[in-house]
Amino acid sequence: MNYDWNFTRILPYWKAFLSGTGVTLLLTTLVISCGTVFGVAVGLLLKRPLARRILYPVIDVVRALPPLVLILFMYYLLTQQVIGTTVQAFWVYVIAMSLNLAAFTADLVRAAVENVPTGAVDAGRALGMSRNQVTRHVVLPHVLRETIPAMTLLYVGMLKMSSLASVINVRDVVYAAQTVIADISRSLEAWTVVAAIFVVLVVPATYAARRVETWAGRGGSRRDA
Amino acid sequence: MSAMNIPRASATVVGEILSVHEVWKRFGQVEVLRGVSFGLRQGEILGVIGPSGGGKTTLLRCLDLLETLDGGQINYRGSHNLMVVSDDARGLRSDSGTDKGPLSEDGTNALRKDIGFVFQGFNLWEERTVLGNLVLAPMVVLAQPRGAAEERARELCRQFGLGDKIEAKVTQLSGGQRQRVAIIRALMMEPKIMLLDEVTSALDPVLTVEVMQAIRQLREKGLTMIVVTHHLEFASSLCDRIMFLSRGEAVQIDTPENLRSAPASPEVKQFLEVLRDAR
Repeated sequence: MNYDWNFTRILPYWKAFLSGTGVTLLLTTLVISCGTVFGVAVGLLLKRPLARRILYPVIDVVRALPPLVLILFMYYLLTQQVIGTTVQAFWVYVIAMSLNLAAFTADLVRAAVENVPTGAVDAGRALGMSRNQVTRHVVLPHVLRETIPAMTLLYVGMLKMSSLASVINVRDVVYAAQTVIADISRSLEAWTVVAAIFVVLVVPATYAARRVETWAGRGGSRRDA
Repeated sequence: MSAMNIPRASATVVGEILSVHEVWKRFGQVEVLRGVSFGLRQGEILGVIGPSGGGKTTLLRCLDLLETLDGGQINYRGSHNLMVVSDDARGLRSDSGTDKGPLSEDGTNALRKDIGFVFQGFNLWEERTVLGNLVLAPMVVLAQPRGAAEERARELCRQFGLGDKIEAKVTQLSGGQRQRVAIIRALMMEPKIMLLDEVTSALDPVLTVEVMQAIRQLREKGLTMIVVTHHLEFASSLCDRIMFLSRGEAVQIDTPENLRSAPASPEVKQFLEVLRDAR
């Protein structure tokens, strides 16, 4: 191996990598939060035939778009010329990837809702629960249990896909690497640091996801009500 | 008889806590209930027997308002004094004194709190423990504190022989134990009327005896009940009257003795003979 590794050249940029990591985590957190809430709401709406007719084509289109294409499309859509105001790149990414996550989440939730045993819902209704109480205490726990394995995979995927944010100049960890490369031309070292950061973030997230899956498989919390 | 021409007058008899008058129910073109009428007195136990597909489960579901009526009226006395009427296909209406108009969700839920429904297939919440199944409705519907609900759940589990199962997942229980949990879950709401839908049909003979004993305990508590069953001996020993329901019609409602000695039709007679032979 003839390459002359030199990480000391990278050291002065540690602050850029650190702040980039923070941005990566913030992006992922926001995307997961917004995408999940939006996706669950849409998924619950898909029970209604009219909503299904309107929303399914939109969901299918969003799911069909590669994330990078969706991000770039939103980047050029959410501008002064088109909508009258320019949305910051950071929020463009959050909006685009939240839509992407919501589209997948909605379909998962819709399938899980359809699989809720009618007997379980009948039991809630027969005990005098309101529709909202049945949804909250009978349907949602079932939906959570059914969707958690797939959702955790999606969440880990969102963490990895945050690396796409740099294409619209969001200052994430990949953007930090590109800055380093432009300054000192130490590409391999820069990408090694980025890879290490993602391993450090993603591997624990994967383990956590497995634990959540196991917890969901057992049926959730011991405190049942 | 057309479902659209139901007489509006209530047929309530003094002392009845439930009166059902000319109830009709259709699923598509199929008439599942065809003008069923009967009354139920406080503390009375009515057995419902009849061939499969005769409308027994649908009748119970209509009484608990889990189905809308296509015609007829149901008078609920007791705490609600509510008359539910439907003489068209637009859903249920309340027709009680000044409380007239479409039956609200709150009205429906308030009524259901007073009716315990035990389903043929248990319908337990499988992701929850026995205790979780028992305390959920009292906590969210009756706003009972968790401690009080758990205390009552433990007491009822002890009474029904499930004291050591309270922390178990319901998926770990036998069919008989699950059905007893379903009975206790309904009892947790302190219902005025219990509806039991073929609660032993999915069970083997040993488990059937377990559940029958649990239902006899309910009789000792003085609960008013409607019990759908295929066990003639059990119905005869438990019930004050038995309804023979076939093709959506209440062919005969009589004491167990009269039903046996004077069946109202050859169909009733033949059905009773089949049940006897099947023992």
